[in-house]
Amino acid sequence: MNPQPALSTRRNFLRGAGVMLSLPWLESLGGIVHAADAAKEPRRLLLVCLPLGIYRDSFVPKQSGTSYELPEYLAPLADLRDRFSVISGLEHPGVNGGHAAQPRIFTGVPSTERNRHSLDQHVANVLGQHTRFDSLALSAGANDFGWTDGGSMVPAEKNAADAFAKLFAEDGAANKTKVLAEIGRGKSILDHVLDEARDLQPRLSKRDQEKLDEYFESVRATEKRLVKSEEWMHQPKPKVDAKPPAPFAPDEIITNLRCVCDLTHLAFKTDSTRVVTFGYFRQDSVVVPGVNIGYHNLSHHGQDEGNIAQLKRVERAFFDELKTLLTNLKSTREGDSTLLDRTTIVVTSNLGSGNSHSNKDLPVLVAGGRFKHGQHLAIPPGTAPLSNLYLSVLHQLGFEDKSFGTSTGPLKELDLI
Amino acid sequence: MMKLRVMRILAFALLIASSANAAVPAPVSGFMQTYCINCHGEKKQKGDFRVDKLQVSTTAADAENWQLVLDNLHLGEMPPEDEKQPSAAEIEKITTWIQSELSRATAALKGAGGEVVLRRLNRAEYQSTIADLFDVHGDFTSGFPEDMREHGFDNNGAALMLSAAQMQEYMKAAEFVLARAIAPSARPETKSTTLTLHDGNRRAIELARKNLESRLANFDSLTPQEKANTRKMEEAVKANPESHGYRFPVLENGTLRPPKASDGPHLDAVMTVQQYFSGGPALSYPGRAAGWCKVKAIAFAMRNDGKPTRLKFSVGRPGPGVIPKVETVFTFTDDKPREVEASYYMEPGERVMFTMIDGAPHSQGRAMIDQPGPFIGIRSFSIEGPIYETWPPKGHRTLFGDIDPAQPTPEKAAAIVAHLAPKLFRRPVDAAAVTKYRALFEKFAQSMTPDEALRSMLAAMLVSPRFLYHEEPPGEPDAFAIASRMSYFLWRSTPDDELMKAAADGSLLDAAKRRAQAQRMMADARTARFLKDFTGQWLRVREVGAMKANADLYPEYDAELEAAMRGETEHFIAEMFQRDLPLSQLIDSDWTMLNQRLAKHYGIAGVLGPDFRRVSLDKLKTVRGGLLTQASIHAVTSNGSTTSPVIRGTWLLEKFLGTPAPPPPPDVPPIEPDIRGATTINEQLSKHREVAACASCHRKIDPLGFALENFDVIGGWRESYRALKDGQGKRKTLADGKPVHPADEWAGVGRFSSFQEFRELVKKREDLVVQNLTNQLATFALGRAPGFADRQPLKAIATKTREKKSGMKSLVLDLVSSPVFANP
Repeated sequence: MNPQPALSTRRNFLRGAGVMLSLPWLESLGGIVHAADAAKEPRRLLLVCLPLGIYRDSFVPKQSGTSYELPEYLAPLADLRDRFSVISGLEHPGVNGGHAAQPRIFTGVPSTERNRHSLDQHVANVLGQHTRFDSLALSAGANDFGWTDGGSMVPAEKNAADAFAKLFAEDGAANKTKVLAEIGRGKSILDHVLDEARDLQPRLSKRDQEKLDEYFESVRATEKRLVKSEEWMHQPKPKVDAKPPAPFAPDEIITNLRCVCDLTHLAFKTDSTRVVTFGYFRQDSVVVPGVNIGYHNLSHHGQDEGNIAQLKRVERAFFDELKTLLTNLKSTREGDSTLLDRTTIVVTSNLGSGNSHSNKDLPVLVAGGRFKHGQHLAIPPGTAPLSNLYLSVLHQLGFEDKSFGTSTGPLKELDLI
Repeated sequence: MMKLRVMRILAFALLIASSANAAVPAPVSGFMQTYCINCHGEKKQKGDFRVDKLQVSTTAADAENWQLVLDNLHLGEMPPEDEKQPSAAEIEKITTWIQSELSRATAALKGAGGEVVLRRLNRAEYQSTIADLFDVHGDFTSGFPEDMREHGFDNNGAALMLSAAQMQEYMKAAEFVLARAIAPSARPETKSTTLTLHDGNRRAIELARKNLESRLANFDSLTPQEKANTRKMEEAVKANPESHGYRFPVLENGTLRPPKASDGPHLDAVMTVQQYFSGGPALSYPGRAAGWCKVKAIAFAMRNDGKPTRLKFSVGRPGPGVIPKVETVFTFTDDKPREVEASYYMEPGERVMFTMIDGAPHSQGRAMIDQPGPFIGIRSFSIEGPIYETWPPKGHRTLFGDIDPAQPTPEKAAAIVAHLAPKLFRRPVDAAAVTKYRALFEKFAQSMTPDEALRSMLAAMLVSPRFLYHEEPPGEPDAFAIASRMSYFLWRSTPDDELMKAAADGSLLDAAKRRAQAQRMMADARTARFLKDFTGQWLRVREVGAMKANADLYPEYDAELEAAMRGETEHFIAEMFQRDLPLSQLIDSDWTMLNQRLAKHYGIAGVLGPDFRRVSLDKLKTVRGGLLTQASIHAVTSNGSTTSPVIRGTWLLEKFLGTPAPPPPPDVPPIEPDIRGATTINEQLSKHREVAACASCHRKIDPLGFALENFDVIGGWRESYRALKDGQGKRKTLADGKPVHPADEWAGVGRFSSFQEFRELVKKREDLVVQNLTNQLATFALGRAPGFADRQPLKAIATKTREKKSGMKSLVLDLVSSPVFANP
């Protein structure tokens, strides 16, 4: 991987496009012009997890194939039917432990091994070269899904207003100068400590030397980040019409989700990043009409009808917002295509059943991108790893990986358009 | 036909076994062939274990496998009951050989495996290291990526990863710390503010007057309801022209009355309600830079019937929904005014709010005075800060010692590094390293002011690998490595000067001197960090509250109970430690640590107030006593709605007995909980016993869980399960479900028909409990799981502790002075 050419291409482009970038986005100009070179259309990835499961009867269609009947949760998505697929029966082999499986949902690393290397981070290493942010980890109550190669969790932007500011708020000129000076200083500090680590290395045991490699890698990666943010400091941030999200209480889960979906749409639309992850979760009480029991307790519904009815209200709210997001992506044109056609969306859960907190037979919805959609793929449970889908997603995004996680090959039932 | 195939496979396995295990004596491999190979060989590998792969130990992993065989034979776990059983003589012959093999391997493999891996400061260690070095406190680690846990603890060297995100957080934290640690050139003035409730009354009365004026001015535009309210206000003002809108009744000659304009500012006034519309009384931090301040109240209880009445100080930024960063609760029981005080590290813009916990819900005017109580009388609130014990303050002295950092030159910068680096890096630093920092200062000074250059150089020191990691030389750790091991074990923080001195003169390499140092350290308040962190992770009680109890099923559950649950176990372990009580009391004790809320939950009378204290238990009246009866344990092994014997059994095996079960095979069907009252957990789990693939492990796990079945989701005692029935309104009502059946059999130990009988059985296995605690402490102390070579010394420590009936403190001392602690 060599980031140099991509960087210079981007810089040249931005110089030319500087004037236009400072204008509000005008779709009438014939779509948004992007930093990516014109020959290669931008590809994006959105990963969403519902860590408490998705109530099966309301999500998994009774029939397989293309003429399935839309279950309750998917009914609002009727207009988009040909732009998504439901997949049932996939799971991560060797990933277990109920909630403990949550951080492994996009890595597929078996529970006996140290978790590392998530799909979003893998993709961001390449797609991130074109954008201000390699990837964006947002949160509607949860996000421990992003994992670096070395096995460190990628912290999420927990506050929607902060995320908005990061994407769109322009620093004042004085502040910019200060930040640039900070970056310069940071680079010198990193050079120094790298040198110090080199001096330290021969004084350590072989095993500790291997561990210290993480330090070298992290310092180098931090330097790269500083270089990148320095490059982008010279470019104005995109202007958007949207207002920064107003503060909300932690239990306002729908408001939170709506903010996160809007941010995702704006981030893709302005090409601020091409990789986004978020989760929809809350342990405690949630502000959803007709719901007075905590979300987590609802997921352990114990077959109680009242609990199930309330659980469905919380989960239906998610699919209502998902519909808005998909619709927004679909109606945003980019070149001769739409954002939905250029974004692959995977919605899933680490729990196949919230009630038992089992990690088998996980619910999956795949939307957008270049997949042939409009079907329910009912895969016999236990026959294919979820990572097979991830491998298909990688291929569809233009990656040539031979495997990902515990994949045994691409998910052959999922065709490209 | 079938039999023939089995025999063929057996013959094949024998062939492999005999070729691979040339040195395993024939009687041993013969035993394995007879009793083990069917499940642990070529054909099946239950528990992912094969006896045909066993060989005379050339690695620690080989030895671990033999140890596993030995443990299973000793515990009577294997062969399973329904398989062919060896005679006692046969078992003895085999175990004798394995033991001799293990002794041989221990000697041969000394130092192999189980080494401490280069440890990074985890979040808690970083936070306390900064606090102890620089007296800087605050929220500078909340953006750090979470530290992963391995072997139950988040200080495991191998699992402590680093990433660019973490590096950037370290850089940010360095700025935060330096901005607060470097003192300004002039000592900031210490200011103090005093507030009486009557001050608050004056402001409230003025506010109410203005409110009425503006309402009257816009009367026509008001809604009918607002108009009616406004008329009422007018009436109220007529009745009390001097005091309309007041918030605190004043106390004069023992009676409460509304305030008068003529009242002097020093009259006592009374808080009567929990919440005031426009916030309660509060005082802002008077400093312009972060620092320590002292907050005082002079207060007394009123109309409280002798019951404790609580006043809370909450520190934080003002604003709706902002969670206070720290709270202190004081209890008053009588009407004698008493001064209480607390110290806080505060930032400009923060304030202290004063609230009354036990007061009535909101009310106004005369209604406040007529509340039944309890009330809290307040003479005054005051705040004083920033307070410096010394000048320059501690952080500044740590950074610069006696050097004046003003107008730094390269020479000065070098002197500062020479002073600071050994403290920061926890070992001596050579001249070459100092020179490099000096060069860094000079580089910075080309483009910055000398002050900025110095600060930047210091920032580099705070992200240096030598600060962030514990540097240990290859082979045996040196005295400085031992010092860090000790202080990060017992204080969760950096060594102090005395410990560094003991490192410098090499005395820490001597076991007896190490013991003496540990004894000194354990008398220090910093040990509380170790106890809390260790208890929270070992027993998982820091997770209490992660799964809130279902409010319909457990309406009595609240935040106070949640905190009290955690509090009991933390205080219990701290008490066990401080008094070095025999470890058998972990299993059963005739005392526990309670406060009022938890005592009420347990149905124990006579415990008043929020503070934890040791309470003697009447064992004829209560089941409580020992860790297994503590609500925190029951809560962390529940999901908030239901309990599962599998989860609880697993907790007991892993956390209490130290004999974890292997992970479940991949294809187990999950249990779908049902709270409709139709099936019991016993019925659901009976599957585990019927399916052979499950039975071997679940016969070990489930009974232990069933023993705790009488404890509900929040640790209450239950004879039957709670169920929900449709009630009158929308809300469900509670009902008794099916009865609880706690009876079962603990394989190899005995049958029990109640929790109490089970606890008697656990007493027979005190050896397991003590060994487990020893191993857990060793894991936490060294940031790694005990290796094979540590087994014998750890066993010796546990045995000695049990035989001498000594406690956790002795155990920790033995651990620190044992070779395990000073191994690579």
